[in-house]
Amino acid sequence: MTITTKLRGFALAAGLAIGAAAAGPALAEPNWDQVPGQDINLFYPGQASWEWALTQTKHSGAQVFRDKEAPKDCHECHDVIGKSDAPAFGKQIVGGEALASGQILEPNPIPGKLGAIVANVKMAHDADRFYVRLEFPDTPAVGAKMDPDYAVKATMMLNDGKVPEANRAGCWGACHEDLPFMANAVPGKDLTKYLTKTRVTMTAKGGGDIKPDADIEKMRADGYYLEYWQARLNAGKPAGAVDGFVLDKRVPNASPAVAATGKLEGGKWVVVLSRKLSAGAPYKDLLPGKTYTVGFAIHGGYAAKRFHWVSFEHTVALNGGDAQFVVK
Amino acid sequence: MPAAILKLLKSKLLYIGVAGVFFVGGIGTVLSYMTAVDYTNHLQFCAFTCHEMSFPYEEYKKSKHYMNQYGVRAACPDCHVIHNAWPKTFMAKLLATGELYTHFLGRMSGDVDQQKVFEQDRLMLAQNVWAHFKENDSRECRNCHSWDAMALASQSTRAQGQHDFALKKGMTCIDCHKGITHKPVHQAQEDQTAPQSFDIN
Repeated sequence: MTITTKLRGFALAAGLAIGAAAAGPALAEPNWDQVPGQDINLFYPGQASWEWALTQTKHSGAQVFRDKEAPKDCHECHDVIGKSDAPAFGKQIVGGEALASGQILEPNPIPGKLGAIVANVKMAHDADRFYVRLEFPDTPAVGAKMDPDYAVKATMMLNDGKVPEANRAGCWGACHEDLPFMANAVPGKDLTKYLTKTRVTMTAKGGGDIKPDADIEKMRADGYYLEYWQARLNAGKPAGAVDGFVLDKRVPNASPAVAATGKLEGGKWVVVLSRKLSAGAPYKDLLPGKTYTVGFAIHGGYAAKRFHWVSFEHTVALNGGDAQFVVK
Repeated sequence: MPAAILKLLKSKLLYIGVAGVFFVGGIGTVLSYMTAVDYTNHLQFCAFTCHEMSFPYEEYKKSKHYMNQYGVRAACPDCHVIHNAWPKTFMAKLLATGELYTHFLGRMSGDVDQQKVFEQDRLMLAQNVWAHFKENDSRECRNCHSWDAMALASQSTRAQGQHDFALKKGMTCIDCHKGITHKPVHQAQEDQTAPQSFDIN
């Protein structure tokens, strides 16, 4: 089965949820010229999963990451400002080259696909809403169109500190070995992103059975889930907005609270995602002074599933606080 | 006993002569040993004397130890032969002659697929080398590398983090740097299906 065929059903189903959001009212966006931006590195991760990252023989930094006394988060070793590993990693991975550990993270190298891209990210809020603006290059399709319905998808994963793995590793906290097209993908099980604690057992090959519903609901009540915002884009058409949650699986909302705009100008996409600061449970309240972790993913050139560029984790705080993005 | 022999035994000349033979013989033995060690401590000898060494040699040729931006090469004996401790070197060379048995009479002898046998034994061979490195605090690595010669500030952020961590934890080179010259076979040691914790809190 081709990737395109496999994904078509998913894309159509998700498309149903988009219509309502795309038709939402026009929002008064912040004056972006007044907002400072930061360049974020996104790179092609191949089959680097959460389990991969925590296995010493595959990722030599695993023991530093797992250390009890002075653990380091991903960005502390790999994404120090001005010295990011992302461009080099992406180039190696997409080209099918072995990493320092001897690992090859892309068994089927993709000639012509970029290893990494840079997105300029601005964030702002007003009394009511929180806005994230992403500006990144348009990238041509390489090979078959995996998601023929959308040229580009720009996604932000949001964590309010209650998912420790996302605090430390951003999107990797939800990326596992047994997801489609990963090294230990389970044929016939079209799994989506999930969190480790929702599985009865975990092995280097991914998760086992899902815990009983009562356990999952307890986790949900405790806030152990991630929220994601996504803009679905085609040149010359209004952006579609999708949001949802990741706990035992990724579940899009039928009526998204997130709004999205996007336009392609001069070879660059400018995308704005936003929602109310308090959109009501289960959306995470965006409160002043609190530190949130976000991760970004861009599916360019009609890509789908793991064939995206992903950022390391970045921190955000509103009004003031200890974070990379202090949003005014 | 004939008088001539008795006279010879009493002669200093005999003792000088015997001492001389031992002296020259000793020098000859030492020189032969050194020549043998010298001869066998070369990449050319290791890589091309025995056919079975062509398998690890081909892997080595793709490694940083064979070619790098600094133009410095660490050849087989730099990592696999003990330096500056001749009794240990002697023992190592003596033990290495066991490979002759493997070649002529053992698993590599006769009409066998040598690469297949090598692959079957690879993990065991690698484990022997790792145990040796672990036991002696990666002594052969330290022939060239040392903490006090390492400019951490010039390293990549991740290398700095790793080395800083290793120093604090008293780790040794081989703890992390397995599979850097030959195939990363250490990954085959792990049971991929064993339940384990991937929680971090």
